[in-house]
Amino acid sequence: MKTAPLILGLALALSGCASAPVAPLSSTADVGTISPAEKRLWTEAMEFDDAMARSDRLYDDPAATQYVQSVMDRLYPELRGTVRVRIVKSPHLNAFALPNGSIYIHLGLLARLENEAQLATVLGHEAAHFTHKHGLRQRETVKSASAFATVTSVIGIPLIDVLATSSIYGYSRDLEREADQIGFERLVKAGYAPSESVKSFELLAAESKALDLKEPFFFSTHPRMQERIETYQELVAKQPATGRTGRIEFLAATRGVRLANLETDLSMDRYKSIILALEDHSRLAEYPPEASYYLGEALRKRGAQGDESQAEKAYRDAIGKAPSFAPSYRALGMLYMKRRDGTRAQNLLGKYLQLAPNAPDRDYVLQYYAELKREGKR
Amino acid sequence: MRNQIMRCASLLAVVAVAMAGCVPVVWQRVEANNRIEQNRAFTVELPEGWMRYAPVNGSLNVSTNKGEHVVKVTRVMITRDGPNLQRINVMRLDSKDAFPRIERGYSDGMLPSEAAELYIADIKATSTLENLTVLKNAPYSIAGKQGFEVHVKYKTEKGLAYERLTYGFGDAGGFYLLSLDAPSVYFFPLHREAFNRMVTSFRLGTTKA
Repeated sequence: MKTAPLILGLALALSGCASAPVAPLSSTADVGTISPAEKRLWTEAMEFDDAMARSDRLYDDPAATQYVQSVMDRLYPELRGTVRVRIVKSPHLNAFALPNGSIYIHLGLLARLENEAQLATVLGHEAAHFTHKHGLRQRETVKSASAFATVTSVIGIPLIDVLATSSIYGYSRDLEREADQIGFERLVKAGYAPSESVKSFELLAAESKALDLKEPFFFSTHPRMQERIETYQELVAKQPATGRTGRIEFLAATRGVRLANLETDLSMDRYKSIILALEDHSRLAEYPPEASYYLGEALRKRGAQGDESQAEKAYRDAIGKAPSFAPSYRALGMLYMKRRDGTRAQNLLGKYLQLAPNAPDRDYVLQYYAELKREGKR
Repeated sequence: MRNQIMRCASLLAVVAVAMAGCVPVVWQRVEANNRIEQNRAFTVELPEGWMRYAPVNGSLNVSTNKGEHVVKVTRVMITRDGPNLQRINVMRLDSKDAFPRIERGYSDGMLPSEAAELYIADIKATSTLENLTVLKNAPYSIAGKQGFEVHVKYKTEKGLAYERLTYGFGDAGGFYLLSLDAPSVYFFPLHREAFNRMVTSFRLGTTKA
């Protein structure tokens, strides 16, 4: 019983030094004047960047990355070359900023957005964490609560992880609110439609709810998410209903991103996410024609009543719209094989092998094809 | 006050010991007289000189994005120099728990390629495996059942490159997996032959586990 006051006393003693105000970055030149404490954070962040670059986790599409970077540069022209955006090969709805100006946006989040103004909302918010040194300020807060830092280090979570956690899982409520405000101002200044900021929140909030997501999420947990939607609604109400959405440019630049995310979702059995993205016909129309194949596969995996015939329809749709895309033939062939429609299955699997002679699943398909042939002769 | 704390600590220690006793942990050296692992689910020949671990009440702790849960398994694990250097697992899971990390089961009529697809998704959902790359995914017949052979490489959280070779199949009795995990350098190629001999010796049990 006596240990609690002791720890509390220690905490108060250690937190006695109030942190000095932190001036935000206003240009690339300010980078040269950062404090030693901030330099240490930069070093940690650069180590993270190096590890990411060495790993297989970055989405390698220079055109898409350049496009996302160009949106960032439009929002923060004075920090061109300092704030660098990279796309993470992950289907999660997340984005995060490091204290050195590295911004990471996940493929899943990028793929779910509808236009450039929504992307600018995400980027504007994340870059504000950098310009207003939220990493440093969060670390100061953590230091102030040193009793907890001590306790957490005892149970095996080092302080550096507290920083990483705040970057990836969200900063304090006040810092997030500040990033919302600054990001929104940048969005308006760059000429984007302010109303899209709320839509991007609502879109992702609805998706998170529909999928019952428990993973790290850009807009954090539900009560805070709702609060932030309301904050944005208030900000939007003060602005004229003008500005550009950049929908056409966004859809053209992110075609590959959206297809790659469908592939990632499929490979991780995230069929619910695919169905949610594609069952809305207006959104399906925004995807490349191969997307219907992914919808078919997602329906097959869900396997609810009526899904098989819907999947068949989706595969046929994909074949009609993208006749040289081989996987649709294999998927439809396997569906007919299960229905014991040997002739149609054989034709489709044969077409698949013809279009994709070096497919990674060639051995399976050859085996199925041979079995169908044997059954056909009986 | 001090006595109370001591009594409480003693009680906790007794409970901990009692609870530990409920989970038999048995490591045995594989000798000529115990090299055949035979249980209700399967029979398999183990390489002599390795260490075997066959918990009586087998279970796997699985982490999903909805939290931790426990899956019942019939399993034997062997290692020669320690599980971090090489481990071979042979296990049977209930069909409903075939792919526990993605909370999916194996169902009758599932094609081997579909089972392999779910198996890969399941291992991708394992948070401790980084940079997972599929090197091979092909059909394979084990104990007369059509299944799959999946060979992947990955990195551990500490950055060490590993490979895993898995043979898997399902039948009405459950879902079966045989896998070798070892560091890519030296150990994986070294133990592949011993693993393949085990796979060849694998037979299904006469009764359902």
